Amino acid sequence: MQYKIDKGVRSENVILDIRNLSLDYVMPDQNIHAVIDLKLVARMGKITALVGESGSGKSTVALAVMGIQDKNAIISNGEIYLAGTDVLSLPKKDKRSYISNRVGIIFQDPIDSLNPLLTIGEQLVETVLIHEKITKNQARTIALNQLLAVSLPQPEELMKKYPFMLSGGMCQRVMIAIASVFRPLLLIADEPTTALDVTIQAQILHHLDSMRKRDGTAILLITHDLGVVAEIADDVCIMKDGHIVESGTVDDIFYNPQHVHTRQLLAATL
Amino acid sequence: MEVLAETLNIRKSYEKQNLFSKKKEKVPAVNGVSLKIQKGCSVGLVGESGSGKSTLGRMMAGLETPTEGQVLFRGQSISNISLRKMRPLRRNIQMIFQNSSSVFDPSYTIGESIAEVIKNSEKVSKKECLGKIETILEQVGLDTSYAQRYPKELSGGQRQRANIARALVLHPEFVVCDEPVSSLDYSLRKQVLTLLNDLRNKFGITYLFITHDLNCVPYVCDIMAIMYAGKIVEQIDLKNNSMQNTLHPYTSLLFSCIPAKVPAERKKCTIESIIDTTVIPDSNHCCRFFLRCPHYTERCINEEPLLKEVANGHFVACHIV
Amino acid sequence: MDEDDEHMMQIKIQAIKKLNVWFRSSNGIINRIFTQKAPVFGLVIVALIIFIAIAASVIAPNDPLKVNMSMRLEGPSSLYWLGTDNLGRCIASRLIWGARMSLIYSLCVLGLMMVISIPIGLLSGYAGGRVDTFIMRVTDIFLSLPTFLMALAIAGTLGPSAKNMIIAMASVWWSSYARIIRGMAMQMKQQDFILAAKAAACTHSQIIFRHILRNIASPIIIMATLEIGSIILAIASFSFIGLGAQPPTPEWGIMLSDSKEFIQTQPQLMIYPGIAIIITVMAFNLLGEGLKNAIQD
Ligand SMILES: Nc1ncnc2c1ncn2[C@@H]1O[C@H](COP(=O)(O)OP(=O)(O)OP(=O)(O)O)[C@@H](O)[C@H]1O
Ligand SMILES: Nc1ncnc2c1ncn2[C@@H]1O[C@H](COP(=O)(O)OP(=O)(O)O)[C@@H](O)[C@H]1O
Ligand code: SF4
Ligand SMILES: [Mg+2]
Ligand SMILES: [Mg+2]
Repeated sequence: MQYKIDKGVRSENVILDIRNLSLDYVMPDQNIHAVIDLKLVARMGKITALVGESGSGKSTVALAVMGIQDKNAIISNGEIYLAGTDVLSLPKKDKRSYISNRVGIIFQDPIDSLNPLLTIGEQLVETVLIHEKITKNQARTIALNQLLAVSLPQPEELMKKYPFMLSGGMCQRVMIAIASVFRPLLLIADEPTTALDVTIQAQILHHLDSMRKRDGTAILLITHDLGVVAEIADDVCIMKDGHIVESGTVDDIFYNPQHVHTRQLLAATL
Repeated sequence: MEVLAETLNIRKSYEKQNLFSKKKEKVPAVNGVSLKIQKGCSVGLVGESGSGKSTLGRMMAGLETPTEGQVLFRGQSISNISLRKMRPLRRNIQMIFQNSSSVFDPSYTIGESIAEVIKNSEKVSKKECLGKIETILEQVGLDTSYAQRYPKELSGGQRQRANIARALVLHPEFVVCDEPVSSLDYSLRKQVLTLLNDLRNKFGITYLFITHDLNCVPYVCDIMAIMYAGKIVEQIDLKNNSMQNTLHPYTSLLFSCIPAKVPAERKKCTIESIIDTTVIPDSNHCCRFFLRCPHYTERCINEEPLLKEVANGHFVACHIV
Repeated sequence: MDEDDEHMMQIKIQAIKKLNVWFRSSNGIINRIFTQKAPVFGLVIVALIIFIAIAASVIAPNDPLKVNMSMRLEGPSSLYWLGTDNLGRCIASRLIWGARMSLIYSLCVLGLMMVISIPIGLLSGYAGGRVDTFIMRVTDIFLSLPTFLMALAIAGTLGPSAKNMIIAMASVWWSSYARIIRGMAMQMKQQDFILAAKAAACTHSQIIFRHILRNIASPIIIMATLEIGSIILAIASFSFIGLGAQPPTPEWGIMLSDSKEFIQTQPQLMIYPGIAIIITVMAFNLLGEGLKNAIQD
């Protein structure tokens, strides 16, 4: 099998390189062009923010990178280079393990994203065991350290709890712990703080920040909150109706916005 | 000025069934709050999630019975009266609920849900009722055709507008707004705040505006109250004082968590005092914030600070101010 | 590799949950029923049975009660499509009329059960507290009784007749329904929109009937559809043991019972009503399951 490999990509610390991606949702009466000719790059140790209003197609991009887009979604064009290999060219059976060994994802709704029937400990240990061939006890130690790393108090107790016993902020930190346990190259955070309040948001952002510094993870941060972007992002892509209308460093976007839509978004901050 | 709504040292605790033993735990949600809301003087209630804001709001809207204390509306107690006695008051006390995705009955259209509010409080003909619905929908910036849609057919932002429309259709005097913008997109957020402000000026509505985002407060409120662990720890009149003059360490913490407006204002994330938000000392003989407070002293552990006036219209409950 | 797949599946399920808003609009309930084969099959059969029941007097080739001793145990013919039974009655006609009787009886049982259990369940679930505790104790008593024995006892004391059988079955089975309805009402009561209804100045009765009952109506209907199958079966069993409808009513249970003696020599007498019962029960169950799946996300 011949995969599409781009060596140049690898050398520049580029973890994720989306090129000209187009994705349509096929509906009985029409086709919705959710993503159109999208270009996006996420680098090692950097936070790339994907910003746009709701319905602009941000989550669709995240799902496409994970290879878990809906059944009625068709990728009509483009390449998604993940660590130098185009995942769209991978055969189906390799694709899943290739992606899931390299990418972690956290969703907007923290409580929904955890399995309600398993304890936090079980879910963490399970994830560790999937990615590493070690004993259960070793996995437990890793899991405990992981919970400490996201500054969750009393990790021993926490391991025995079920998701519904935790607050939204704690769940989201557990999700970060789970998503970062196998040191992914890329972490996709889809509106990780939208459902949470400011103090917890600050915490989560801190953990994302320390994760990229400690592990050199590339983070694709999806958000509609320009405050969050100003706070931690390095690069910014502004998305509207499936297009990237402007992209650049965070300073470019905030101090020298070019596109009307970017200016509109900036003007709407409180 | 006329006092519209008032709480007299109200408390509310919920019984929570412990999963592993038979005994029930008491969770205090609101822990002795006395708050006066004057007509035309909207109050912003700010705090982290779990601090008891919604519970206080529901009690002030007459939707929940306090375990202790009284809620008065225009001097009349509404804290312990039946649904039927509450009915005539309803047209003047309304609530915008936090979770717009679940506050509409899925089997009725938006129009039917709004019509229910009107019909329960007023004798109106079908045509008048329709007219009112169309007017309010237009005022909140929704096309009148949305009246025929079912709640799940609206996007989050649209549903929140419908939620606001339902609460405001009768032009009530007092409206509890429970995080009306938290679930909204940034660009919509500003629109909705402007809308709430316009309606306030137009119809003389007084809000109890619940939020965890300090940025929203100056848009619609005249007074800001900060709530922590079921208590009001700081209350400041924004007409006489600047919002930056707040003194309580918890308020400072909230301010420090607001993300930067532009990249140059980035702060080095200081999260020492943010951690452990879940542990709150359950005692009435200490400051409930001391575990997270960078300035705590011996006194804070032994004595509970009470609200005291430090400037005109500015109250703080902290030993060091 | 398998575990890996499972991990991805989990992520995918979550993602789908996020996106099922779109599913809902494009794939309505009706759509979903018709994309599955089994429920459609069930629906077709149920529709056919209902049609047969309604048009029994037109379809049936003969009078189901007419005894013709000269034509006993005949084979199929153009007049007697499935032949005749031990009294020379037309089997086909009796089966067709039996469909009507089965449906009428089961609908009566179901209706009576609903009339008792819906108000009680709603009251119990909505009022909560002591009212709820009391009602639940009462249903507990009914639930702990062996249903069939109890129904037997009632039918036995009131005398065997179709009417008494219906009363007996409904008065025993309502309790489990009341429990389920109470559970649903309690769940509904905790929904945010009930609080919103209170804020809209609704009275308790408006909340119960406009908001709670309206929202649990479809699960109740599904529950009923799923139940019709077993009710039909129970009715047939009652008639079979002589406590339900009485001969010579053309009823499947009675037909079974009448053919007991001929099981060795004329097994078809037993097979025809047996097949009718099995098909009907299965059709209702398929339809009910399909409805259930369609309504759940
Ligand atoms: N119906 C209830 N049953 C049991 N506990 C409750 C109930 N409602 C609230 N609580 C508890 O009371 C406390 C305060 O809750 P409340 O919802 O008022 O907080 P909040 O400040 O509005 O938070 P959020 O921003 O998450 O809405 C929390 O600890 C919560 O778990
Ligand atoms: N499964 C789907 N079927 C049809 N349309 C979809 C589907 N998923 C997303 N869309 C549409 O694609 C657009 C982008 O959606 P999404 O990626 O969720 O945006 P965002 O994350 O910015 O809210 C929207 O217009 C949405 O309606
Ligand atoms: S009373 Fe003491 S512990 Fe409480 S906020 Fe003030 S300084 Fe901090
Ligand atoms: Mg999204
Ligand atoms: Mg709340």
